[in-house]
Amino acid sequence: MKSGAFYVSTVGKLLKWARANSLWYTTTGSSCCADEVLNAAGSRYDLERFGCIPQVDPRQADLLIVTGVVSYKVAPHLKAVYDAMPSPKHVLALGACANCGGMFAPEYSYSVVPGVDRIIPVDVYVPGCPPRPESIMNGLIALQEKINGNSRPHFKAQ
Amino acid sequence: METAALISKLNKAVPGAVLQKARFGRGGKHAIWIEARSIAAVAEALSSDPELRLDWLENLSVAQLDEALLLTYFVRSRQTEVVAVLRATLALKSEDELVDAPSVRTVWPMAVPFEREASELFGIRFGKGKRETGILPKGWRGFPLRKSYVFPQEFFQIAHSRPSPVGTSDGGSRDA
Ligand code: SF4
Repeated sequence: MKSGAFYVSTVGKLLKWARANSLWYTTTGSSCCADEVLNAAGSRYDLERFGCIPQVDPRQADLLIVTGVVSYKVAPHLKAVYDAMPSPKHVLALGACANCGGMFAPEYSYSVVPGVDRIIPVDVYVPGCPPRPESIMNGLIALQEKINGNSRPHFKAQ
Repeated sequence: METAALISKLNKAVPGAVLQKARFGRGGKHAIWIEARSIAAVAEALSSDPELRLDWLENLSVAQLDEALLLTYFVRSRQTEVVAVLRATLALKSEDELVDAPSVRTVWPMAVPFEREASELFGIRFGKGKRETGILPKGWRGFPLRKSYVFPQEFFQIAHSRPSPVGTSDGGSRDA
């Protein structure tokens, strides 16, 4: 093995490990799913075990957790928050509303974006209405696995 | 105060404004139906009457019934125990035309946010002003809470639809 390759692969792995275990997050908190993030961050579930520290400034964050409904009015502001984050950056869509509009589906609601992935790229979708803190942690672990290059099997809508 | 006494006071203060009294909800309450063009005069009369002093607008709700918009004013007094429910209808001319209604914001300043919201979402022009905006994003067309409102296919280049759930062919529509 060439020494350069050894260096790149080992340092790369170290960097990925460090990134995966220090996901500082900012959250949009637009509706009820945000309460579950608070629960997950609280002492009972303690997201900080995963290296996740809440940030108020998107410029200090690696992860954007989108919780709940995103309306068309808010969409450009959410995009601005995402754009303000430094790369590499990740997005966790939390709850049915963020994933696909949920109960504010396009058949019923005129004002809700049917899925936050219409505005920004999403790494992990966490289902539920609302997802329990265990699901949120599961989503975070899925994201950590993805960052480490071990994506879980997934399927896409046709 | 009894609704009948309230109506007789109104009949004296604004003759011809009251159309009828009708049961409101499941309790023993009544709503007073009034002529839409007299709303402002009725509001003034109710708030300035020394026995009533109906000085607080709790809520203004709007709903569409067939070809008319139904305005419901929930009013109460902070000094007396009196409460009242006033109702009026506005006939809709066409799907995309604004309708006019008198504004009560000079009598009840708390009507401002209610009127603003109803103005934007139902296409009502309160008082002599314009239709107000602020809730919907800039450039939004139509009045989304009217029954005739048709959802466009896209908003601001975002497709307003969902892909079919995996394994179905009906486009994901729950009505299919
Ligand atoms: S998915 Fe359910 S809990 Fe979450 S924001 Fe939507 S309605 Fe609220």
